Amino acid sequence: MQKLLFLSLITASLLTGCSSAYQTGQTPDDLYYSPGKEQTASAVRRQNEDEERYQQNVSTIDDRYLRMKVANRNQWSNLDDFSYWNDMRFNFSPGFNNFGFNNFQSWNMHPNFNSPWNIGWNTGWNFGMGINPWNSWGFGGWGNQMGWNNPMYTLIAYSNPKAITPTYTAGSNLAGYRNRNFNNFNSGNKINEWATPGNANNNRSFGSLIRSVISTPSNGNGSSSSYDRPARSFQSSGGTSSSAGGSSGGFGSTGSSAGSGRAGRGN
Amino acid sequence: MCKHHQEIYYLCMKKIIFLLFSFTALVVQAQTPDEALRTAWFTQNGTARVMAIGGVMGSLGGDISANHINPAGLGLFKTNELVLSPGFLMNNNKFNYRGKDTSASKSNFGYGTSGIILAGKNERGSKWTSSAFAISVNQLANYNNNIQYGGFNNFSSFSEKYLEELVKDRADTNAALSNYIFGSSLAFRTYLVDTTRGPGGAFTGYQSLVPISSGVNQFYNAQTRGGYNEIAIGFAENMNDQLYIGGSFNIPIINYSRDLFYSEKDATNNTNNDFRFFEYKETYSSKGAGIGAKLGMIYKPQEFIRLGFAIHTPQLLTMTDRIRSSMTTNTENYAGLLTETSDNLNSGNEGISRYNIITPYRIIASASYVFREVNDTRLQKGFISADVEFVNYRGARFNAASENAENITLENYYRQINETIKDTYKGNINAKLGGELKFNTWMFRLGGAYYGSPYADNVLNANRIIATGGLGYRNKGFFIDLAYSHIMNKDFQFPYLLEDKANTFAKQTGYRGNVMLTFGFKL
Repeated sequence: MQKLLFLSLITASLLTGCSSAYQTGQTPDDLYYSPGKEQTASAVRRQNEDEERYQQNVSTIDDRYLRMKVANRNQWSNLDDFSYWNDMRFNFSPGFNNFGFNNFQSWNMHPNFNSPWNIGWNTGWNFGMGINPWNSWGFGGWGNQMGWNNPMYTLIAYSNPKAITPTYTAGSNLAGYRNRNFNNFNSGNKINEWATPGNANNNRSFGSLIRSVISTPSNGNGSSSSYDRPARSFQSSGGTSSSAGGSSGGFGSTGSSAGSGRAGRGN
Repeated sequence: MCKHHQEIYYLCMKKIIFLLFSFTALVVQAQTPDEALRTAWFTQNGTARVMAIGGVMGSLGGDISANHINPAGLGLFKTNELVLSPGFLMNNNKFNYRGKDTSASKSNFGYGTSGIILAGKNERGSKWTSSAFAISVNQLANYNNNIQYGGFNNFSSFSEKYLEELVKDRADTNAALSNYIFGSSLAFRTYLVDTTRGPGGAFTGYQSLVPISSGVNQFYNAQTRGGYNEIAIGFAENMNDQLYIGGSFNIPIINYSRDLFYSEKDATNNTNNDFRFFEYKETYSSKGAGIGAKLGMIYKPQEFIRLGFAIHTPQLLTMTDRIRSSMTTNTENYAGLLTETSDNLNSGNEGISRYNIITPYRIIASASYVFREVNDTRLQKGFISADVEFVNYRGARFNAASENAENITLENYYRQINETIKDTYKGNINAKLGGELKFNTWMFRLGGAYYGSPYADNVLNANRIIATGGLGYRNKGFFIDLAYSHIMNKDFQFPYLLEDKANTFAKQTGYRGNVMLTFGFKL
């Protein structure tokens, strides 16, 4: 990480030299307002020249056409002025949103093409500009973008699972999450502020969850003592299974060593 | 057949049965709701500017962090920018576990949003006046931490989760020996857990050797590492400097690992109670990658005012988890000191689990007042902004990887875990507020945030309260920002979970300090 920082600093110093466009004047803060890219004087001059030439060219064509019509309206009335009225400069249609001119629109009629996303593109976000998926940045296109976002609907199409008894594991590691009884104090201590009030499990009534043991000193001297061990018993008859298992962090076993027995008890 | 041959025959049969179990009965199930929460319960990370204003970026725009929060904010760019954000985190955790206070700290490097923005004006005549493209990376969550607590307990034991598991599964001794090689089998083999016998020697259940009535001193330590990283490729359009729309395609990459050490020691000096201590060690990692998307819009109803809305789709990740575990138990006169490892029971191999996870969705609504939105930076005086975010924590879902699609046991397990997630977590609100004062080239920032509890249980009223501040300098095509976030945690750590007995937990407080430095260049 230190190397990365060092490299970043070197890159930073190099790039500082590169951003020469902003060495003079103000550095734009796009969060407030962005004026666009700052241009060098020659670039601005070049752009102005281009614009002037473009304007001259266009005005020349326009002027010539108008002069011809004014001079003799009848003679030039049949002249096709399609290009005049359909000049691209006056076309404010956003993006590719050109209704009947849109060649991509026909693709939408193909059911297979649309099928994976069909639900999203037809669920209320369609603002009536056609269902053209490539119509991305027109008004209708935005609707389609929301529709494209339909993993929201498709991925989270949560099923309502029924309670199914597992084959091998009862999932006791998960059942613990549902146990909302809490105990955070020890026997004999004052009641902890987090203990759930009124919970029977907060007292010492272990009930069947303990097993009393009486220990006797191994050397035979001294007195015996008794204590409790946690224990759990099978709830009802029905036998045990050798195919139980799997939820105790039970990642898959790829070996066979588990087949060995356990070590014998020391006593 | 003589008695000797009969014994050999039974031993061979036993071995064959064990071998069969090893290959067939062990299933791949280790995912828990905790894992789902790791993909959603974290605070906002970004550039130093965004960090300094409480993580707010729902309606402001003009910062590369927008690519990971509200991509429409990219639409405010008309210039190109390169941004790098190295960071540093300091965890100072405090725990109270059953009345005992402990603390644990850990520091490490991190990073905020870093990347490049390419933006420019569109052709004249189009309503879409400018467009912006960005590619960036952000660390959504930094998992480096040290969770450590301990205390005296005479109510419950870690070992009881093994008892519950074996009894609920109705596991016989063969299953207990071999089918839980990363948990219960280790306990059974080291005699932390043994059988109970009724009248006539009948097998009635399992017991733990922990002398719970006299109590044990418990100790939990988890060293966690890694992060939840996200690559975002975003695009935004600007309509007449009034409406901005944008979206980003996301590639989330998760790299999480945890070294867990847990122990229980006899609280007495009694050498005749068949228990001295046990230690459980586990190395676990969870890694994966996936896809997701973020969409948003920003609208300026009038000068100075910005309203924002964004939605983060659930992310679909394919994960691979790996685990190794071991246990050492000293049961004194009962079976002595014994150690067992999962490696020993698994031919030296780690456990591997592959599955898919779907993270919860997020919805963000935001408003800003920006004074002023003018070209002359000397007249740009500052802003104030607020985000409200809804995170559907209970919406996380697991499902089996395609290779396990036919495994009924796994399918059932994932149904169980998804039901558990729905019961354990809830959706909740995060609120963020921040502002900046700008003096031409210098900027001063303050912010704050509140993150609501993801837990459905009201007793577990976790939260995160963040206070932030920072400053920035912008001149000569270069900018540098510094931020500090003070993230005050209130959370709950469970060393183990039991179904049939009240659970115990450590209350976590303390804070995480996050220093973020961002430097960027106008290109």
